[in-house]
Amino acid sequence: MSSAELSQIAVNALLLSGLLALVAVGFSLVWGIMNIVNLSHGAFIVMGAYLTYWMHELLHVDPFLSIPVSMAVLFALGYAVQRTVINQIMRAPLLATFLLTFGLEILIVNLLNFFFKADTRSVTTSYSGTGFTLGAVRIPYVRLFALLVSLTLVLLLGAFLNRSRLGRAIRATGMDIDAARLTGVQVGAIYALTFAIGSAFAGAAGSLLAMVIPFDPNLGGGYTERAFVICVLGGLGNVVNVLIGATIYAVVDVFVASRLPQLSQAVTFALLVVLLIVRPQGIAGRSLS
Amino acid sequence: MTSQGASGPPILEARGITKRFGGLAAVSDVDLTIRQGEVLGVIGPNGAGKTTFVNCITGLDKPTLGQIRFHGRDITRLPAYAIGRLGIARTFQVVKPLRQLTVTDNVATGAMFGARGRERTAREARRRAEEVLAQVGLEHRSRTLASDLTIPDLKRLELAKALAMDPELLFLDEVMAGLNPTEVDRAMELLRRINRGGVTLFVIEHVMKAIMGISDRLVVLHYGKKIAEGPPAEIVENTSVIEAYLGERFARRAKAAATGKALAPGGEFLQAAPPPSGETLLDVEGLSSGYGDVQVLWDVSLDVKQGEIVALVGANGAGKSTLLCTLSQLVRPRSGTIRFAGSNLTRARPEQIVGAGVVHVPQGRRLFPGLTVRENLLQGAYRSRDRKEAAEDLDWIYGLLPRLKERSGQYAGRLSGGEQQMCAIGRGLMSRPRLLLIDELSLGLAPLIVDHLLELIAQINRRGTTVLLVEQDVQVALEHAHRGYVLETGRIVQSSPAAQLLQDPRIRQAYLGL
Amino acid sequence: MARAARFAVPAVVLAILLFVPRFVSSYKLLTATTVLCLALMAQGWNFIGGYAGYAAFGNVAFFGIGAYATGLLMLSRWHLGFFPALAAGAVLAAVVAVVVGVPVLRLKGHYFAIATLGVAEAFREVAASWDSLTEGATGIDLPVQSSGQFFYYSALALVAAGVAATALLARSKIGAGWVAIREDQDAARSVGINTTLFKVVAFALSAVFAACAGGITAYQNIHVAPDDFFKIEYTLQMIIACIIGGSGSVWGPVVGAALYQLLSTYVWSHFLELHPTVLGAIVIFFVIFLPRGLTDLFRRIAQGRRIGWNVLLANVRASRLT
Repeated sequence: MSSAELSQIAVNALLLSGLLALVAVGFSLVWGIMNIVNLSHGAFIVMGAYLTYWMHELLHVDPFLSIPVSMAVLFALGYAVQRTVINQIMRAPLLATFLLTFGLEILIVNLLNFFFKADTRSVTTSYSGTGFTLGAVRIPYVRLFALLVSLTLVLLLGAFLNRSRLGRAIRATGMDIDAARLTGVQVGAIYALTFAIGSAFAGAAGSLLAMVIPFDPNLGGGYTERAFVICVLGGLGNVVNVLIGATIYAVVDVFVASRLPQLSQAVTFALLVVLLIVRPQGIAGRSLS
Repeated sequence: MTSQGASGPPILEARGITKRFGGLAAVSDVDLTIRQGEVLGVIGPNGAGKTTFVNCITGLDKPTLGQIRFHGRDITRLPAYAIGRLGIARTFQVVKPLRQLTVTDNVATGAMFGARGRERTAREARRRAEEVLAQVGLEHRSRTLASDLTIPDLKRLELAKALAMDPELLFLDEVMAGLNPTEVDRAMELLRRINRGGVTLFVIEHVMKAIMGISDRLVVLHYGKKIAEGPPAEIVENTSVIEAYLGERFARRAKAAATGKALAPGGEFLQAAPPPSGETLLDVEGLSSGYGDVQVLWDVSLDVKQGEIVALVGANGAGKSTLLCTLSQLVRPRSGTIRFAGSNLTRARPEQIVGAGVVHVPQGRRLFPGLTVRENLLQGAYRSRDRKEAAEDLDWIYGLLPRLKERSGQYAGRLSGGEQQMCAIGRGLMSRPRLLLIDELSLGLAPLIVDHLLELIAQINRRGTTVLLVEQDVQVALEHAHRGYVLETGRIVQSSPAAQLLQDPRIRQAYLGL
Repeated sequence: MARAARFAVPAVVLAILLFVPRFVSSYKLLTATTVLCLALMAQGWNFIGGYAGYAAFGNVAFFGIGAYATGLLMLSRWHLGFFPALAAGAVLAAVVAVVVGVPVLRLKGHYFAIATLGVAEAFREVAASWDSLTEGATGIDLPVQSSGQFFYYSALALVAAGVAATALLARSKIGAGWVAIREDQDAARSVGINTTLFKVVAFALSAVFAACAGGITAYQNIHVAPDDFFKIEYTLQMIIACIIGGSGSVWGPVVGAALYQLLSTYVWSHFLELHPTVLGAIVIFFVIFLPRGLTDLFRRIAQGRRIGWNVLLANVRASRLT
């Protein structure tokens, strides 16, 4: 492989990692705080993609400007889902929520298939194909802005969690729910807020993905898997871990895809299993004592 | 008290056992020999490493350093199930019954997997289970589901499961926790019987009367190290033990319990200040509550007046913590009423309780380990959306507890026990309580630190905060309170001014061993 | 129930099932065989997911292994008969389960579930890319066998054997060991149970059952391709069957499979395109209201307890966030 190809691959990985971090950060929050592995995360991503698509198609809204809208809509949806459905089984054995979100994923994806059909769509704007060249490497503007938006959102979430009153309450509830109650936290609402934030960020990721790749209702599952792998690589616990995990994943993914495209899933999962056995807290996570 | 006791040949030798978790050594270079037929008692404050040590020997965990030999054979790296089959059994501090199965099936599981080469079929195992159930006194519950048992019965089930393995050496981890005095006596008798039947016992216990009464030898662990070893009578006199954690008052009390002597009354009990006359702030009538099928509190009535410090004392498992948890609504009351400053809080939600001004500092501190000291304190002010107000309160707390200011940027999980308790109280104070409920202030803390904390409580009280203090250590509690309530197996049995309670011989007998 | 009565109902059911082919069309027979194969897979899953409590999400891997092994052995130069090929496929699946299981079963909960998912995906990719062995994505074609009854009776025999095996194992030491592991692994280890061994056995058994189902389906379908035989839908179905029927019980998987097919057929004919939506809703319903499945409900009825809304709300009351 020439150095030019190598550089392009590296740049692609970099551009991708920010978006992947956005994909994973909502998933990581829900998992870290509520111990829910949300298998419907991908479905929320795809809903965000469709929202952006239709706002662009029907209302001619620029896709970047549609992000706040898709985040708001999915925030509300996520809040409702957690408050009315998932909160009913929070104290059930661990896999109950796993199976429930599993059912939710099937339900949502099928509804999307039913209403929007399985045609692939993507959002193309006047500036979609444009970019600039840096040496041997081409950098599309859309991907670059997507990276910037992703990083901004991820860092904003970090700031929210670390500096705001609600963010602190969310973290506290994730560490000790009874102690949190004793400080006056209404845990049902906090859980709903957490899931809502996770959904909103999934929506944002979907909106950005719609601009970058062609999508259909079945796109989500693959991104849930990626989110899971990123959380395992980086460890749960904070936003920085997600960034680290996303970077590692992007690099590995891009390299494996270029060498062994047909076995990329197999290789990725083999590595994942090995990692889980050797270091269950992830590469960046703190040791579980 | 002892049979051939401490003079049998050694069957288990542990040398240089160290267990590290990350940078922290839970157990540090402990040497221990267990002799055949003895009852070896192990004591030490919470976090001394006792359970970790047992985990290392029984294979649930592997020691970082050191070697363990059972009848000369190196078992350090053997998997847990293999050690079980060699004849070493254990109970768990937090009982682990198979909830969906009946009592008989639970015990049969213990009998099935071949301790000491004696593999049994499922049917044989059930027969053996029935024998063991009769031995521990659970035969009348053989068909009950494990999930429906009371705490004392669950403890007996745990013991029965371990006995069904035909162990040569049995590790017991706090089997008496949660038992009332009569149940403790019965348990002691049962353990003596088991020991006489040929089983060597290694007993971790906090109930002093019990462990002093049945042990041939005692080992004392403190911060993971062995600090003393010997017969109970000697241990209580050992200066390092006394200094480290027993405290002079306690040592004298334990010694009296061990020898069955009555200690001459009088001594240096402080006179508690006369109770202030004020309006009733907290009024509890006929309160009952519990967990699942187990009822813990029975018809409890008490009141706390504005400005008082009220102590709530009672033995392990009497229901003191449950009472506080019911007041703060972590546990729902099943009947009765809770009135606070005129409002009925019986059906309130936990966050409403905090809003009303009742703040619970829970047992074990329950700080948020991943938040810094400062964040923990700020979380205490969660209900106030006013940043300025919260910052002012924070400054006040730092003034009251300068040590917290020093440690403000540190993760709460890394503080020492005393600092954590300070932080927990600080967090409670940030919620601006009118009534502060404190659960087990002294648990696992050295006497000096406890005294310091109690001065702090007195200071807060003088500023106007009413306090309801739950305390294992009766003496400490009553010396610093205006009034006291005594709780025994979920019922209030005594209520008087603190000084009076201290002098009451019945109380002394039951709880001070004097 | 008296001992004789306990065998009476299954015996009657079996007798009825033996006569089914006589009375139904060949299309319905195909459906019946599909139900039986699902029951087989669910029975297998029941060992690892129901009794031992380790929810595996990748058992379709063994289904596919069984399908390919059966097919390839029948097509090979030894021209193995169907049953020997099926048996060999089952053995191969068990071996794979042991090799994969020893490391993966050390993981817990979500991690184990996702790891097994990954294993299934990995096998799909391997089957699709190992052209020399599996003809890659195009797949292989088995010899033709046109007798629908052949498949039906083969599947029925295996399901019956599965019920017997589950019943025997459930009351044996192995069953007791699995339940102990599900309840509390540390307690199980302390009592002398070699948890790794027991878990691997459960996993291997689940592989055997899935592989048999795969072999039968392969032969019936004639064509075997990676995307058809390693698709996650099969894992979904066997888990849903166990959820509906009740995992950790002898009849749960079978009842669940039958009910799933009934629902499927009904939903297919009325809501064709929304079929998965209804399925998803059913999963959600059962997880929230009937987590122990229908056999648990039937058991309560048999014990004479009254069934009201309380039964449905019981789980929510016990599990909801307080």
